[in-house]
Amino acid sequence: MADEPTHRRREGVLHRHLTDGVLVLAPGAPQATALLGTAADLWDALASPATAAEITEALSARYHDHGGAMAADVRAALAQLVAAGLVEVDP
Amino acid sequence: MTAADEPAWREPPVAAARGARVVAGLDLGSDLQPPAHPLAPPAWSALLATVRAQRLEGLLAVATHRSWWPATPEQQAEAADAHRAAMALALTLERRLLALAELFDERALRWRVLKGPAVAHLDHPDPALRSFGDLDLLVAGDDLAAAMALLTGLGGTRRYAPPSPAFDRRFGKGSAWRLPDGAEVDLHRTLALGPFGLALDPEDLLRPPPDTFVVAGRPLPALTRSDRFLHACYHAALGQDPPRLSAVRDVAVLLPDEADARRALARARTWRGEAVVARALVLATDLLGWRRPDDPLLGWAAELRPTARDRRWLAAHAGPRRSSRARTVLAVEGLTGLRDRVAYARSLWPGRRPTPPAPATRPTSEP
Repeated sequence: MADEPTHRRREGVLHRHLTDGVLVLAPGAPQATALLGTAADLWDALASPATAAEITEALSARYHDHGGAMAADVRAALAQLVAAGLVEVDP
Repeated sequence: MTAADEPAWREPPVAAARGARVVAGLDLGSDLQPPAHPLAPPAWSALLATVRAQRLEGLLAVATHRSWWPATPEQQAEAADAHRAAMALALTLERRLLALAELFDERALRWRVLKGPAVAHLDHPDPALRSFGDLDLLVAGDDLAAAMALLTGLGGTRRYAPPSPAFDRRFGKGSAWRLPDGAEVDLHRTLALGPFGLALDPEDLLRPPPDTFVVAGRPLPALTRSDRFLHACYHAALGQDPPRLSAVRDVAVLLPDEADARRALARARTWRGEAVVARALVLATDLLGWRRPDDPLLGWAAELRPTARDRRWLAAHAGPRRSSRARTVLAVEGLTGLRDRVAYARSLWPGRRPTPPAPATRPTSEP
C-alpha cells in the first residue's frame, strides 16, 4: 500500500459538527454542504491525512464490516469529496 | 400525551420564554427543568423561533438529540435544521473573518476577535454549540480609520454616521458595517456605550498577548480569558435589554477560577465597572437558574450594593430610563480629565469645521 495516494482535507475548508453529521464550507463555495452518516465519519477520519485503505480499516472496525463492501464505499465517497473540492489527493 | 397537559408549558409565549431559558442553561448545572413531554405544536413553534432569536440553536439540537429535551421525531429534525442553518452562517462569517485577518495583519493593525467566534472556539467543548450572527472585532483607536477604510474598500457600508472623526477615534464605541455579501462586521473601539465604555482603557485589552484560536489552520487573536469574561459581562449587562440569552450564557461559561476572578475584578475596579460584573452575574443566575452556591464571585455579586453613580449609569442601559440620550449625556462622567470632557463635547458637536459635518444620526446606536 506504500504507493497508494494519501487523501487530506483541503486547506481552508471550514467545518462544524452537527448532531447528524458535519457541515463543511470550501473556499469559494457558495454555500456549506452537509455530510451525513458515513460521509461524516469519513470526514472525521481525515483529521489526519490517510489512504483509502487506512480509512477503510478504521471505518470497517466501527461498522463491523466483515464482507469487504466498505472499501468500495470509501473509495466512492472519497471521489465525491474530491470532486466537491473538500478533499485533495497527494500522489 | 404532550406538555400541553402541563400548565407551565401550555401557552406558546410562556413556553417559548421559559423553554429558551431552560435550553440556555444546558450543562451549566441549572435548576430549570425541561418539560416532561414534547411540547404541543404551537408551543414548539414559538420555542423554535425564540431559540433562533436568542442564538441557542446548537444547544436545542443537542438537548433534543440527547433526549434531555423531549421532542417528537419531527421536532428533533426541526431543531437539527435550525442548527444546520445557524452553523452555515457561522462558517460563512468565519471565512470572512479569515479574509479580514489577512488584511488587518498586512496593515499591522492591532486587533482582537470578540464574542461569537472566539467564545465558540476557546470556551466551548465544541464550537457548534455557540451560534453568532455577525463579526465583532476590537481595533485600537489609532487603527480604526485604517480598518474602516479597509471595509469601505471591500464595498462595505457603514450603518450609522458618526458626529465627527474625533468621536470615532477617541470616544465612540465603534462602528457597524454591512459588506456586499450581507456579512455584518462591528468594529469596536471599546466594550460599551456611554460612561462605562469611556471609563475603561481599551489599551488594557490590547496590551496583553492574545489568546489564540485556530480556524482552518490560521491562528486568530482573541482577548485573554479573564478579559473575555469581562467583555461577556459588559455585553450582557449593558447591551440589549433584556439581554440575548446566548450573551448571558457566555457569562456563565466564562466564569473565572479564583485567580482569574481576582484579576478580572481588579481590572473592573480600575474601569469603574464592578457593578457591571455584578449585574451580569446576577442576570445569569436569575435567567438561567444557574446555581453555584460556593462560588465566591457569585457570592460577591449577590452582596454588592451599587453606588448612586453606578445606579445612574446602569439605568441608562437597562430598565425604563434606558436611552441613548442618557448614555450620551452621562458618558462625560466616564472621562476623568477636564480636557477629555471638553474634547468629548466638541466631538459630539463639532461646530465650525472646514467641511460640512456628517449627519449625526444616533451615534450611540453603534454596536
